[in-house]
Amino acid sequence: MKNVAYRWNTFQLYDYRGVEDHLSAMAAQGWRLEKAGNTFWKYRRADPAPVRYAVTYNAGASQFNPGPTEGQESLEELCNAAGWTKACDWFQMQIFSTEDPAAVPLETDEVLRLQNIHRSMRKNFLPANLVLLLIGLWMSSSLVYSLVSGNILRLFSSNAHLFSGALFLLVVLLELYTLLHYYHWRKQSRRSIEEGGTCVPINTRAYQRLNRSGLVLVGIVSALYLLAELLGGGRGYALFFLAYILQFILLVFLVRRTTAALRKRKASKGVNMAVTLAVDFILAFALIGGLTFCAIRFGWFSGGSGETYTYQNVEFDVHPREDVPLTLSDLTGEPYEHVRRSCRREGSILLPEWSYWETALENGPEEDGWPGSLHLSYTVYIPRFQWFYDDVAEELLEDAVPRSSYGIGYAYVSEDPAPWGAEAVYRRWLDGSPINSWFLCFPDRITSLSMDWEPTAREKALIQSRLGSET
Amino acid sequence: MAREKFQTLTEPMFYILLTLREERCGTDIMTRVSALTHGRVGLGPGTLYNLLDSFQQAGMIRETSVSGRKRSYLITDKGRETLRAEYLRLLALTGDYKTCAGEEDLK
Repeated sequence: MKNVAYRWNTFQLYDYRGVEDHLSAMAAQGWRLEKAGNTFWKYRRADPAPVRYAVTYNAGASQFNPGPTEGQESLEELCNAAGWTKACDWFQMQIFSTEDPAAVPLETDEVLRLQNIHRSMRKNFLPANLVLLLIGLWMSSSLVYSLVSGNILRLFSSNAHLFSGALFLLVVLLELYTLLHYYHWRKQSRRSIEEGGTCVPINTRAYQRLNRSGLVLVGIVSALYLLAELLGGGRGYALFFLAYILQFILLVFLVRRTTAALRKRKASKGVNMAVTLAVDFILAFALIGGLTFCAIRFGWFSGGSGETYTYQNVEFDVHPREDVPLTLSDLTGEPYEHVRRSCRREGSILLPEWSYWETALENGPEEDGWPGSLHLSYTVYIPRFQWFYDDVAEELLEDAVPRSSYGIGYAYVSEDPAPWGAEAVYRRWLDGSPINSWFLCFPDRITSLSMDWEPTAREKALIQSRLGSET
Repeated sequence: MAREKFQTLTEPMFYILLTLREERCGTDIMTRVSALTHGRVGLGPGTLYNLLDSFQQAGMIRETSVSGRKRSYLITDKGRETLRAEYLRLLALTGDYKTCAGEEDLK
C-alpha cells in the first residue's frame, strides 16, 4: 500500500477556500498534505480524521528565503497559540491545520484578508502572469497580424509559425482569463465585504476544469505540430521541437534545484535570487545555443550540408545529393564534375515550400581560360486547398517585385503558358528586358524558377514533367 | 473600503490598541481581548499578525522585546491618540443616539 501520493496542483493562490476544502476532504480520506510544491503537492497517508485546514497569507514569504522569515515565525507562534499547526507554505500562502472544531478562525477580518491576498498576489502571481501574457502577445502577434491582414503566404509560411502562433494565442487567452478572473473576484469580494459579507467563493472545480482543458489543448496543438512536421518531411524541425521541450523541462528542473540547494545552504534571499537568475540565464543560453548549434551542424533543417571541397575558390560537394527533382545535368544532358546542391523544405502542412539550388562548374574553359559556372534554382509551392491557390499566386507575384528605391524596375509579365504545359506563366523583366526567371502556375502548385539561360522547348517540357506535378 | 487607514477603527483594531496600553505579546492580546469582550470579539491569529504589522508600520505600537518567536508590543503616543479619537467618535455616536432616541428604545 502506498503511503505517499502526489497531485497536480491547479489551485490559484487566492483560492483559499478551494485549498481549505480540498485539504480537509483529503484528510477525511486519510491523506495529509506534507509538501506543497510548485507543480505537485505531496500527501502522506494518515488515519482519516475531521481535520480543519485554514489558509492565511504572508506577503513577505518567498521561495528564495533561506528559511521562515521572522514574520512567518511570529505568525506561526500566534497560530500555535490559537490551536493551529503549520502544515506547509506555498509561496505566500501559509497553510495551517487543527483538529479542534472550536479553534478560532485564522482570519476574522475580511477587509484585511482581501488586502493581504492582493499584496501576496502582487508579489509573484500577478507579475508572472503578466509576463506570460506579454510573451504570448509578442509570440502570437505575427499570426494575428497574418490573420487580420489576410496574408496567406505569411500565415502558412511554416508549421512553427502556424502552430506556435496558435499555441501562444492559447496562452494569451488562458492568461487573460486568469488575470480577469482574479480582478473580477477581487471586485466582487470588495462589494460583498462592503455589504457585510465575506470574500466571494470561487467555483474551484469549474476553474480547474477550464485550466486543465487549456493545458490539454496546448498539448494537442503541440502534438499536431509534431505530426505536421513529420508528415511534411520536416523531421529535423520535429526533433528540434522535442529537444527544445525536453530542454525547457530540464531548465525548469535545474533552476528549481538551484534555488532549493541555495536555500539548504542558507544563502540569503538576495544571493539566492541573483544566483538563480544567473543560472537560469546561462543555462538557457547554453542549452538553446547548444541545441541550435547541433541543428545547424548536423543539418536538421537543411537535411545535411555534407562534405565539401574547394576548387577554383568555390566550394563543391564531395557527394552531391541525389534527392533533387531536377538538376543541371537533367536539363543539359551533360554530367558535371564539380557540383554544389542545396535543398530546403520549408512552408507548412497547408502550404509546403521546397527550395532547391544548384551550381555546377562547366566542363570546358571559357574564352578567358577559366571555366564558367551554371546556376539553377527553383522553389515549389503547393497550396493544399484550391481556395487559397489564387491568393498565394497573387502574393508571390507581389512579393517578387521589390519596391526598389534605386530606380531599378522589376516587373512580371504574362507569357504563353503552352510551351511550359502550365496554366499561366509570368516572366520577370528588369528595366524593360526579360530575364531568365519565371513563375509557373501548374494545376496544384506554383513554381518559381531561375536559371542562367532561356530553356529550349525540350527543357521546358522536362521542367513541366519534373516540377509541374508530383513525381 | 477606500477609507483612510486607521481614520476609524474596526473592533479588532480598537481592542488590540486598548490591550496594548500594557506590554503584551500576541498570545496575551488574543486571550485578553477574548476575556474583555466575553468572547464576543474573536481575534484570528492571521488577522492579529497583520494588524500588529500594520500598527507597527504606522508607528502606533512599538516592539518592546523579542524572546524566541515571542514578540511583545506596547502602544505609542500616536496609538494612544488614535485610540482616544476613536473613543470620542464612539461617544459622539452614543450621544447622538441618546439625543434622537433617548433611552426608551433600550427598555
